[in-house]
Amino acid sequence: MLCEKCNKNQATVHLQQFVNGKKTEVRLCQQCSFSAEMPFALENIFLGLIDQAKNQIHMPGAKIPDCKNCGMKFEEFRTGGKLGCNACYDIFPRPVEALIKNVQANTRHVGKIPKRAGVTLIQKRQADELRSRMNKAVADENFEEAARLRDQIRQLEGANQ
Amino acid sequence: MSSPWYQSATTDESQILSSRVRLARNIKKYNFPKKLSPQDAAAMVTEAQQAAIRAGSHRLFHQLDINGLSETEQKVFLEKHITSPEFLRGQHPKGLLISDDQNISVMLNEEDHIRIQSVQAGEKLSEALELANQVDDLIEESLEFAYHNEYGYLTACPTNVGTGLRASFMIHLPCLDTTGQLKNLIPHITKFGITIRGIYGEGTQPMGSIYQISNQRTLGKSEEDIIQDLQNVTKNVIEHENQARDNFLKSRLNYLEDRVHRAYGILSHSRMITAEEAMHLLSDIRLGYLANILQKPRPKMQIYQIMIEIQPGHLQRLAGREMQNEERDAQRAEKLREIFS
Repeated sequence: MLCEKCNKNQATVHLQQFVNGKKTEVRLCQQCSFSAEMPFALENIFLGLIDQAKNQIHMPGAKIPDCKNCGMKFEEFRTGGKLGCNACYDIFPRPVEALIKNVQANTRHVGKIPKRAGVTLIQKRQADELRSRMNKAVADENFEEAARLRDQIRQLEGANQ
Repeated sequence: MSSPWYQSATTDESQILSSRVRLARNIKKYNFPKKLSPQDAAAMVTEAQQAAIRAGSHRLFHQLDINGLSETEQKVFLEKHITSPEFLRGQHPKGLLISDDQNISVMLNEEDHIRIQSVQAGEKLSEALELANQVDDLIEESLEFAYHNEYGYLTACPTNVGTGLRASFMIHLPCLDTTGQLKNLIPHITKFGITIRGIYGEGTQPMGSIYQISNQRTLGKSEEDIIQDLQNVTKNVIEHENQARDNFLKSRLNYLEDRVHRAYGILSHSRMITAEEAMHLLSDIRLGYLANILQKPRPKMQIYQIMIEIQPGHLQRLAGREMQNEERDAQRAEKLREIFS
């Protein structure tokens, strides 16, 4: 069989890729096998994932509305893998989520928060953390600690309002 | 400009040549570059440029007129990894800022509005992240970034969403390359959400056994964890490289010595040489010094620096004009002879 990338040479390398348990395979010639690597394979995964997500929520062939904010069409996202604006994340929620679930470690951001947009978010994250510590303290019957944590949460959330 | 990072004396001492961090950011009020009108793009670039200059005032950012760059200058930036091929390809208004020491650069209107890049010689990923974070914080003082409660920093491609962080090491793996073992390692590496590719990034051929190893996942892990995981996997790959090298030294010393000395011979005597061949031979020489089988005096320049400076753009800049392949190969051979004899 011919190399799936250049379609010229005989395919001699069988490349398998596992991303979160999903397997993809390509057959390549020696020359393409190194230059191919992840981005090439990843694009194919994209298409598959986005299609899968589309079929889950829409009848096959049904039209997904364009993004009202930037005019991005679903088909454009499907083939290009790139979104047009912030709003696209909410306009194409399922395909975006399906993609994210498969290529990312998790669907929830746990890293840096911008100071400007994130003052309340930072407080919310701190409160969430305190709350889980409080629940653990209650479970451990450490009520003194739990009360202390509860006060801290109140203080944080009070500052927020 | 003061010395760029790759002239640092540390790059010849380990398999890790450099550490790089890239942060992708978008400004909330503008569409992503793909859906940005030329007028809005120009306004966005101006706004971001001003914010970046304010942010970089303490580091002396140089603002470059990217549209006024000659083809040679553009190549030089690519070869030094200061800009991406995608950045130079597009039509829209663009902006590029580079710090005095070239350790920090900011690309405006690439795939995302703002891409902050920080490079350090050797294994200094945490330092690179810290620097990029500082610039990020300072830019944010005058701009509001697109940020989602669940997904974090929003990017044009959902593969960069969350931290927007791409961390990478440039590593030299001559023995894993020779034995072909690297291919066997790739499935294990990707399991950790980490990818490995050629020296000039996506879709490029590996040259001189130099690879870029970087995180694929950007969401669901903190910046520090992403870096930690990359460090662990890279350490593991390097252990394999060292093991392969030890095996060579034990069982095929003659072969290795021959290869290294032949490389030295060609580099110090050739009259014409392509970049590809030169990269390959420089890789052998680097291995020779690392494995202590080459006793020749070390050149004044780091091998990795030589690798960058024999690329077409750098040679053309040195000559002050565009050159055809043959002339370039002769120029390259001459430069290498000066270095090695």
